[in-house]
Amino acid sequence: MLLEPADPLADAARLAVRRLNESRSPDERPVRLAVATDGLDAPRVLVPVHGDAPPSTRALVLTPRLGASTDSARVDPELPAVLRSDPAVRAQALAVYDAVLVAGLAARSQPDATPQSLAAWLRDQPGWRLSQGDVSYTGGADPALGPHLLAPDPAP
Amino acid sequence: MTPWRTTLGTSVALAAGAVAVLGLALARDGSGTPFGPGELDVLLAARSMAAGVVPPLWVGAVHPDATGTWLGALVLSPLLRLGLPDVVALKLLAGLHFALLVGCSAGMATRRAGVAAGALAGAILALGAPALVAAHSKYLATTVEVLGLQIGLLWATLELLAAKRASLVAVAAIGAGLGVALVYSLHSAVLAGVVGLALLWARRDRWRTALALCLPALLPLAWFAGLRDATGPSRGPLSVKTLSPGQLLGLLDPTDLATLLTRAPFALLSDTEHIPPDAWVRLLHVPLAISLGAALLGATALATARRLPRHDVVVLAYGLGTAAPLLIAGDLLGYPAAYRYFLPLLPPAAVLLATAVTRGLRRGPPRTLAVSAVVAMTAPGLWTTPRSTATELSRPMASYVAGQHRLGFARAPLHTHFLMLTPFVRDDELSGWLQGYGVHLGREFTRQAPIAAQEARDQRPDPGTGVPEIVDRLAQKTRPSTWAGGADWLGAAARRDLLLGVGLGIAEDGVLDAFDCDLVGVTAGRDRAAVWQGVGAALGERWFWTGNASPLRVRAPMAPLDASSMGALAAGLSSTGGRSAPSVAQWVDADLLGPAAAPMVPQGRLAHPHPFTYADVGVLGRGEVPMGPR
Repeated sequence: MLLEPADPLADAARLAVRRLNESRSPDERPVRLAVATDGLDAPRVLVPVHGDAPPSTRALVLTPRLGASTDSARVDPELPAVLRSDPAVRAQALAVYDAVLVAGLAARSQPDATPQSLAAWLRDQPGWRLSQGDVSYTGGADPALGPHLLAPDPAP
Repeated sequence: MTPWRTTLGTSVALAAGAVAVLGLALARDGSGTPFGPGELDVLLAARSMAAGVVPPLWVGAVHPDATGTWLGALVLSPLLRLGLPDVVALKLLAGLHFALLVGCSAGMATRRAGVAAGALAGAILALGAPALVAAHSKYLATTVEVLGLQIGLLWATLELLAAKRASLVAVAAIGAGLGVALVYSLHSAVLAGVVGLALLWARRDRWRTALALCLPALLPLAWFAGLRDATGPSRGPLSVKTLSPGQLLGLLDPTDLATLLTRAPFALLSDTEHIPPDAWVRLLHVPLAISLGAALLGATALATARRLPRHDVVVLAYGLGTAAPLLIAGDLLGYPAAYRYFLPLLPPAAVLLATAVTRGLRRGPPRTLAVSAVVAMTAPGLWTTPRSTATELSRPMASYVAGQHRLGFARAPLHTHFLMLTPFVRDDELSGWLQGYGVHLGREFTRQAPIAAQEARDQRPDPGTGVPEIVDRLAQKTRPSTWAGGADWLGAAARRDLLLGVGLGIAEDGVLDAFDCDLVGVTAGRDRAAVWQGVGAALGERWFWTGNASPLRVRAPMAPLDASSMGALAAGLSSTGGRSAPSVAQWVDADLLGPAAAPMVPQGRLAHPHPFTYADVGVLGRGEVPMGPR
């Protein structure tokens, strides 16, 4: 997660990871979260290639959709109060939360994946009802209510 | 003090005698049913270790508090690695533990009061106490197995107290032994307290003694603390039988004392499965039990009057301290093994009785008479001890029981505990393992799904609040496929046995609630028939044990059974209820019956012919539920 570790939004990411690990199947890996910043303004979620630390440009990148909250949004009951009270902050928190969920779902599904195979896996999924609304990548990398997906082109 | 050579000779002879007695009992009673409940659990963890896969504590221990079972598996694994048959390896270790217990007790008595005392103490334990033979007929690495180590450490402490100069190295060795004993069983805390106080009381260099005792004791404990897997389930720093100390203390009740007193006269026969509860021969063991109790009480009186030798005071303190867990056992009547806590009292009581008889009386007729009386009181063991095993399970039954012991931790993925040990299950154990785990799943689904649904409703008070379902643990718990899919990793062949077990589990109470009906609904074809066979077996079991033939209560709409489900239900009924069990039509409402008479074709075998025997024992107490065919 590329975000200032002390940023309250990081708590939304941590909560999402907790949800992921509570709900995994025995054949799915636990998800681990590292929060750091690269100096850019926009938070992003990187799913690094297995064994690729620090993450490089070969990672799958998910950019949270930091727009306004919609009527269909659903807030995790354990989201910290500081992230729930202000609608704008809440919308940001839900965007980060959803981006981490999508990244975690992809990461835990395939132990030794490449960014391309993770992106392909996401495109094959029927979609989920996440915090901001229904998210599906079957129609493209930029769903209306979910994080933007970016997978680098495979190496020649 | 008896010379060491004589002491060790007596000790070894009595230990060999104990092994011979145990071997005779196992050969007589254990050939077809070599396992006790929980024994195969230890074996699975040992197989895993022997294969080079060291499981974390929460997977390798029979339950999270029984860290000794993990250690026991570690001890067992080299024997398996050497190629010993699993049953031989288990019984070999059990025999060695029994030999250690009897040998150390006899040695301790011999050293203090002569060969006669040692022989008497050894005879009481090896022959006069069938409960000890029964407890050692299975290898579980629990409180029973740690007794030999405890008595050995107690003996070593007495020798340190008697020595004019004893080095701190010897104290440190006792400390290390205490650390291992504490890992085996928290019960060893009693001994640790007694040994610590005795050494501090007797030695001048108290600070150095305390450090020499505590630091080595902490090493094994610290090592085991490090074995706790961070990815495993979280639990409190200290719990006993999965209860916190506060919960345990809350269970204490004065009425427990009355229960204990009524059971105490038969303490020498606890867990002797093959001796009928009403056998007259049980009464013949009462005089020795009373004598052992009298030895403890008499020694207490002498100690109060400051007339008991210092070394006997230490033995007495250990004996009385070991009685403390029995107060908890009184409230653990639902826990069949609770009364094994009588066993730790027996060695110190036997040593005190043997010592009192041989040393407390002058040579001549009084002593001869007293020794003869104790020998006579152990004599009933000649009849009962060779029948005193607690190994009532065949291999399929044992794997069924082990499957039921798998745990589903709240914040760890369901089925993990089961799947981590499944690779080490033998082919002839797999069916029982799957059925047993299925029963556990069925029971837990019936119990947990409604709670999870309620919890989910409480946490989502409005449409704007909620956890996305794909990562919602509570939603998963209410989803039947999460539970019934436990065998999907193992292939289609495994699914039938698991679902048979699930059927047993959901119908154990004779009721199918809305969640249970959903679970039946998500299965199809042969899978659904397997669930119905389990339901039939549950109904047959209820009828067999309790005579309860009330129809299955179905609390949600359900389609009529198809022909294969009807046949499977009938097969399940007859497999536990016997051919005289009421017909299917008496068990299910008319609107559930299929249109055509179904063929009564057995759909497979139950690993345990009476799958709920242990549940009943849990409610009624072992020995109060009839065993075997009616």
